[in-house]
Amino acid sequence: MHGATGATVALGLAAIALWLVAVRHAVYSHMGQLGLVSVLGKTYFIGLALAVAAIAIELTRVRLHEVRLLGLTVVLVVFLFGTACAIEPVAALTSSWVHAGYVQYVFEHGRPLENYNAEFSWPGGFSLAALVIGFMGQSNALDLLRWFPLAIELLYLAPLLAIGRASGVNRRAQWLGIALFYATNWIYQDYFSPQALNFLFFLVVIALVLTGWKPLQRAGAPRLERLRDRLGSWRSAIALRRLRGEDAATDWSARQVLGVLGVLALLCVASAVSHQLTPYAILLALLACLVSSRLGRPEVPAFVLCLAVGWLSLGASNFWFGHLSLIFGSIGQLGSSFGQNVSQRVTGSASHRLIVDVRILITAALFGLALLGAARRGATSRTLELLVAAPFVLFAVQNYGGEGLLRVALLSGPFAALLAASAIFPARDGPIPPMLPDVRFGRHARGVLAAAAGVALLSFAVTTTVVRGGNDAYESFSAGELAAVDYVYAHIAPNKTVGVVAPYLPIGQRDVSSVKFFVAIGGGDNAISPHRVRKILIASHATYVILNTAQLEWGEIVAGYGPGWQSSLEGALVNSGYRVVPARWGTTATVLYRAKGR
Amino acid sequence: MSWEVASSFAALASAPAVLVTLVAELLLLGLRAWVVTTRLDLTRQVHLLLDGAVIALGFMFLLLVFLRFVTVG
Repeated sequence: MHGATGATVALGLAAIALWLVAVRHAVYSHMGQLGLVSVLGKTYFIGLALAVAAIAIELTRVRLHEVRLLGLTVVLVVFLFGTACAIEPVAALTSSWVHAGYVQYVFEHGRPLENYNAEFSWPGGFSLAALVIGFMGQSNALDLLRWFPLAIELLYLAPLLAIGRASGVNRRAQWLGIALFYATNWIYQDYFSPQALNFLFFLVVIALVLTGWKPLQRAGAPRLERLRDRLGSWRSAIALRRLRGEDAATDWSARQVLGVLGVLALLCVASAVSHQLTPYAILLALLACLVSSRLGRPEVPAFVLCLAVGWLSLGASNFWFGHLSLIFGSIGQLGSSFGQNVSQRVTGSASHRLIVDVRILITAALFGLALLGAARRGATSRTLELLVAAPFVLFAVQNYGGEGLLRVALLSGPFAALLAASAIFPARDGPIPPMLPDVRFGRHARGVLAAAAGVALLSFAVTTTVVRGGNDAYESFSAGELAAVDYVYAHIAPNKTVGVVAPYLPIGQRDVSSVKFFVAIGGGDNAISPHRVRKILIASHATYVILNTAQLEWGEIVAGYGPGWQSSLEGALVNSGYRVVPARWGTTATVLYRAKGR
Repeated sequence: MSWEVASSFAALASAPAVLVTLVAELLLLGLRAWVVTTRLDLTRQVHLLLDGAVIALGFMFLLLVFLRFVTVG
């Protein structure tokens, strides 16, 4: 036993050592069209396999050692979410830089910028970040950007552990479920953003609720073996007694419950003022808990609804004045929502389409395993299943600019992962019996289960590594590109315009209200030809134009422009009166200024 | 005698009206949660009155928000 203990610890340490070697030897400038994976050597994948093997071995021990499982889970998180942070010289994703700019504005002016854009109508997250950087003695949030994804994913671990422990799955499924959630989280909403913070709020709310309340067990209640009994239990989900929270019980004292309700209220207020979508996701999840006897206080979802709707109608009125269709226009438009979220994303080069296809495959595989897990497990309630389904109501109401399905997949992810883990380690007890008979593996059970867990986890982890960083060829940036942007900020006059082809550069982190941006492709219309882009950009009369490697890669990978399109554009700009600024930042970016009539 | 409640729907759905209704509803929800959690010894009629107030004020709040969207949006 001690030998086996030493083996998993050694595997974990070896995995970390291999990760360090892999990130040390990765050369960012060699990144190709497949993104991050193109600079990762075999060392990374061997290390990942060792970490997964250690987790699989630990999961099938007779007695679980949770401290080691925690450590190995942290190793897995570092692999999946720390690699890009370590290799890419500056923070990826333009949006993270833009959010840093919003934080700086709030820090300097003490208030959000009104009538600027939708995100500033929910300024709570930016205000919190401004408070944090003030405490840190900084003047901007730039130091927070690069490692934020790893930090926030590690913060998710605590509420995930609480959710897993209280969800009704057994301990092995709990740990495997958490690992599967991380291994399938390709969704990349953990950059410096309000939604990353709000996902933490979401997890903490659900963790508190599931930990506090359990279904009230009535003596003599029959096991729901027959279909008639199961249907009867579903009818009771909408009975008044259930909706009043009387079917849920808690072991907490009245004072503890009031304290937790206070914390829940604060979290709901924080979410309502900092994100458009998450409060409604919290509401749906709380309703799922209420109807499945996992919430004893119906006031909580009512509180969330009032706060979310109240902030929308009062605090965010700048957002919807004259644009109500933005909020309500996609209600019931499932076909067009699906098109915006899925079909229209499967475009671009073969490598890009492969990335998108594999992402869809990962999500489908996770939900398929979750379905199997739901059928194999016994339970006291179907809360997990309802928590998986609840976010899909959001998708039916609001396509969220084509990102609705992404957000739904993220919000369902932790619960789907716990169900998927139950496909391998199902709990078999509880008043709700399993729908499938138990499968016995005899004396090889531990080996078979370890192999199943290991293969599933490794497959997901490897594919997530590939697809999560799959767009990094145009969504990550070099130090040279940042230097070029810094040069423009240092030299541009207020109220002048910076022109770009597509929004793929580290820009927006300062002078939010004074420097304007012109994006030639407008609202993301990839169908504009390079010739038309050239005409639009020249007609914009932007004071500065920035062309960089990320935009070049975007043009070739996503928009289908031929090689050398950016050089042609540069030549056309020079012919129309722009001059190239002598580069002090290598060849990764070109800055042009408009010499005529600046 | 004038039975006008407000000069217009827009006035009825003005921000202060929505805010006051919101705050009142949140306070009532908090009160209900506290009463039930601490098992305060109230008569059944008082409980029903509290529940009724929460529901009625909730409907009023949602109606005012709807009016605000329709008139001001």
